[in-house]
Amino acid sequence: MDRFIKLLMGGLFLTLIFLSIDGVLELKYHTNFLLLGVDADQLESLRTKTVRPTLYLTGAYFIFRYFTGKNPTSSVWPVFVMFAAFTFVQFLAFFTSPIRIAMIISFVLSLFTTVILRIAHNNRQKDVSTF
Amino acid sequence: MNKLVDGIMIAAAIFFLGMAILRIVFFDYQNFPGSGLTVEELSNWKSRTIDSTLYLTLLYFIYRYFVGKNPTSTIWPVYVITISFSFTQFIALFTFDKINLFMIINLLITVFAVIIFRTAHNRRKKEISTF
Repeated sequence: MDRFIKLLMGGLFLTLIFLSIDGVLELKYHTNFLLLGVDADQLESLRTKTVRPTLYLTGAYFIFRYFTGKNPTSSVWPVFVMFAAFTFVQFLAFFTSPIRIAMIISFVLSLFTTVILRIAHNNRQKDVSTF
Repeated sequence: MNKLVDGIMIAAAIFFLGMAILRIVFFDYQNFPGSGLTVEELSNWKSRTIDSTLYLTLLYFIYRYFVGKNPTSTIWPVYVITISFSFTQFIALFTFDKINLFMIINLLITVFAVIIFRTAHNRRKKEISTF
């Protein structure tokens, strides 16, 4: 299981390097994924409903935690919170967007990643004694 | 100073929550009045800055998962989000088709937020002894 978690985290890390470079330099690969079945405008609308609220929800959650408690958190917890928020907003998007197979696959993958990240967080929690 | 930090943290939390709800529920609201950018330009700018901020933040925490086991304060993720947002906005000044006052003001506000969040993190670091 540990090896699988590390593999998943490594895969995520590499994907995010690509997405970051693509996003910052606007290489346009992520403005229209092939096989997604939506045009550029629909993809932009989908990202407005999913990717951006994820960032805002994460920011709001950690500021809330700043005010409510003083205990620190593991370094994998922010990744878990982001994926949990991403899964949540994708679920809401099913009710506000035309449903495509790619959206369902993306939702299932996010849900799966969220579960694995929670396991990774629990493992890390055992390693550090500050919780 | 403490009151200023707390005040800005509350304002940031309200802003993040407001933006999340706006994006999830009123997703057709695409433009800021007075931004001086068209809907398409603003959408392009957001792809380069906001989306990339999410990816960079995730990258950073996955990197930290691999390199060390020490926990972090609950405000550190918000600090990482705002510093990534400053970085992507700075890059956008060189890669975007045009520079306007909205972009510069936005960058300055973000840099100010970075300083406040760093101050909040340092304060919290003194209160908990796990760093």
